[in-house]
Amino acid sequence: MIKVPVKPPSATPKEAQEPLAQPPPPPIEYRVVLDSQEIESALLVHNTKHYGQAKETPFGHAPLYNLLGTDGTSDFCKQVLDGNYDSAIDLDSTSQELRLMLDQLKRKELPPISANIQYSDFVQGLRSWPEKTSILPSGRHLGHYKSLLVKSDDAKSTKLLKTHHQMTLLVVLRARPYERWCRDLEVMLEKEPGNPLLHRLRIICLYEADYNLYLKQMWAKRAVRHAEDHNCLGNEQGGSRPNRFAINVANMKALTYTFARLSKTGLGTFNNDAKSCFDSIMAALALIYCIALGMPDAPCQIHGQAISKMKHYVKTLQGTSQNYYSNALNGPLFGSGQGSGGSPSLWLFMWVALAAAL
Amino acid sequence: MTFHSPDGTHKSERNQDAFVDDTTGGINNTKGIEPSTPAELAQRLHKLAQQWEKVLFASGGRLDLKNAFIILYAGNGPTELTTKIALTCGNDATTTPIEHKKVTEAHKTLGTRMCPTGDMIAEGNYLKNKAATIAGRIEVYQGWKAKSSTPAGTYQA
Repeated sequence: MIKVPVKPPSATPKEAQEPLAQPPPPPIEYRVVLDSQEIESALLVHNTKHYGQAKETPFGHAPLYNLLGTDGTSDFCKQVLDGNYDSAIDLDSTSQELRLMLDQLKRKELPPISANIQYSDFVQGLRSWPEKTSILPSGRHLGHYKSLLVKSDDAKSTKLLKTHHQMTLLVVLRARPYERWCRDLEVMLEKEPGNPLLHRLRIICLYEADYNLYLKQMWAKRAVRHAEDHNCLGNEQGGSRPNRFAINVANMKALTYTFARLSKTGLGTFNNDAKSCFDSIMAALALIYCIALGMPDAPCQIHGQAISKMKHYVKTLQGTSQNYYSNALNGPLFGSGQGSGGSPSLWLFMWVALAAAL
Repeated sequence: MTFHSPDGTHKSERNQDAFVDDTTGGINNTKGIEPSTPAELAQRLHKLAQQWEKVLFASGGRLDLKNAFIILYAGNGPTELTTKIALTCGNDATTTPIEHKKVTEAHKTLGTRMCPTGDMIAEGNYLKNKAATIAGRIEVYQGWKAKSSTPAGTYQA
């Protein structure tokens, strides 16, 4: 069951948001949808719109969208990495903030990150992954991989695991994702339990296990640790980093307020949230930063192409949808999806670049 | 934000504190040689907030201005400031007023209810309610367990 608005909410004039200026707009009416076909199509339309939110931003449409490409390896991206992109863009029509942001994506003099996943990393990644994790649009359960680890001294199990590992290495060699990897299942979770309002549903993407394992290894482990080792992440962002927790950031905020109070000095803070950050990341921009940090082209091509070619299916209690939406059919779509092993790191790198642009 | 040691020999500087998408940008005036006026503080904060919005927009993101808010603390002046700021969002030139929270008002952030004045009343109340809910559930469970474990027919009227 989901609840969809009877009439799409009209855009409220911004001035009307001043509490005393005008009376609040009338509440939106919702109708309950129980038909599985209707639920499926409503979710597909909603999710397409959700992933297209960044369309209005400078890189969300031509000409910058075409220049940027999908995986951070286009000619324009190389120019950004070298810091000589001025000739590629119209300086008059681009904002100063955009150029400041691009300036932060310049190549850093860091050693390269290895693109190959070692067999031990592959096994360790599977071993540390909780079996209850929902994954695999193809129907392969994580338990299938886990069962091979139970008898790790068994020759047949080891051979099968090595085959899976070789298959992953093949992707790196070709720098192109499998078709199987370019398919995700989207599960909708209620942000307010018991109230399935269409616009209050969180989209969680389920990916193939080996694809997500590769992303976790390359981005969450290698890229982030590499950046940490070379002091590229600063101290401002505490999310998606090893040995940093939300409470550390909360403590910093509390200390800042205490410092101002005790020293009787002025302080102003602007507290804000980014709207659906993982679902509107320009993956290609974040991948440029990854290359700047020493990530080889192949993993970025795999990640960028998989995001670009992804066919998004919706999973409900009635099963997986017959239809899907994709960048090719309904694009442009953006975001790397909640549930991807690479999303937190992409957002982290993008955030660090943006903070440096201030 | 810049923080100086009392003798001015050490300095620590940062613009924001963030955990994933929850960001707090800030400006301050700790050196204290020429304290900023409330209007100057608000102006600097407005500049920082608008620039953050623009940089984020350039990268494909967008701020949730409806839930954003500012806190202004004057230091040695009047504690409560009434200065308002309004921001534009993306390509839209119209401005959205940003909520101004009092320094005595607690706000929910990063799993806590933090109050700039340092009092923990809101957090304490929240934890008390949470504990009461859990205790209530345990009580119901214990009652059910006691009832179900009592052998039938042993009650005396």
